[in-house]
Amino acid sequence: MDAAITLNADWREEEGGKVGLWLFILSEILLFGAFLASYVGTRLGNPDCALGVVAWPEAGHLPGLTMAALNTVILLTSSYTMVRAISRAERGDRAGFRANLIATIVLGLGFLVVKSAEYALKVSHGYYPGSELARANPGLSIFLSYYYLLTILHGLHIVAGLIWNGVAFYASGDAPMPAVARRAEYAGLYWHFVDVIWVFLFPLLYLI
Amino acid sequence: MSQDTTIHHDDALDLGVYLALLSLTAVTLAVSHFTHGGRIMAVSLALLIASFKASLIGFYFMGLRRERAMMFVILGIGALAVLILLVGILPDLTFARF
Repeated sequence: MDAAITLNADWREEEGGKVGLWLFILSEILLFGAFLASYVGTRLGNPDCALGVVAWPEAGHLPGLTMAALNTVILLTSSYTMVRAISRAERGDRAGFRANLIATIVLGLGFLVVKSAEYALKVSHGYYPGSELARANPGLSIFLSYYYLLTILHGLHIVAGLIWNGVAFYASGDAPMPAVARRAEYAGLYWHFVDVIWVFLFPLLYLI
Repeated sequence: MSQDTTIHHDDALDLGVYLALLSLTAVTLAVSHFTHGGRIMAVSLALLIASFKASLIGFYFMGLRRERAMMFVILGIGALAVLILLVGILPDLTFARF
């Protein structure tokens, strides 16, 4: 009887935690969705910042696109290592879990390093709101505002994900593996969601 | 705490999904480069591919394929809200041209 009650409590805790996390993801969808809808509406409706007008002028375009493509590969790879970490935790392989989670964290840090280099490149070419180039081209200024808003907001989510993954790593030292697997699954759900956001940001910000 | 953990992931399947995601990223880049003059088509294709990639991540990496209907209801609310935001602005864009 006691075992049945314990199992039921475990099930409710796991299901409750998962539903709560999906509701949190819903709030994030609404946050990014509102900004992305506003961005697409602006690009469609403003002749100075319209679809069909390449948002980035030629200077620095290709290196910036290359960095963004590299970051896409980095984030997709980090999602894969996260899946492997969860898989190892479910199998009770603590060392495998920790190795894959460390790889995920290193890749996340790599994303931020590449992003910082890309910002430096863009600023060096005058691609920031308020620059002479942006003041002379209102459409570019609007685009740059959206670009920095969306990528910085996404970058903050990466930082939050890194902290979450770091806590999951720290807490995995001597905790029972079922608990480690559950924490890893929650951290993984958030990390994958941050990856999904980038999957949409990449073509919308760099390829149209 | 229960000591039993269900194993949800299949290593070969996870690797296949990862390789598919990388391939689709290459396709996204190719589509944007080879549709000069047809950028709206390029955007539509890029977003279609992005949606497919997001579905792969959601179903396989986030485990949606194993989840109950409630999670799909939660996600459906988000998708509907974003759709309303996107479509709701279209009349303004249309009539603003006249």
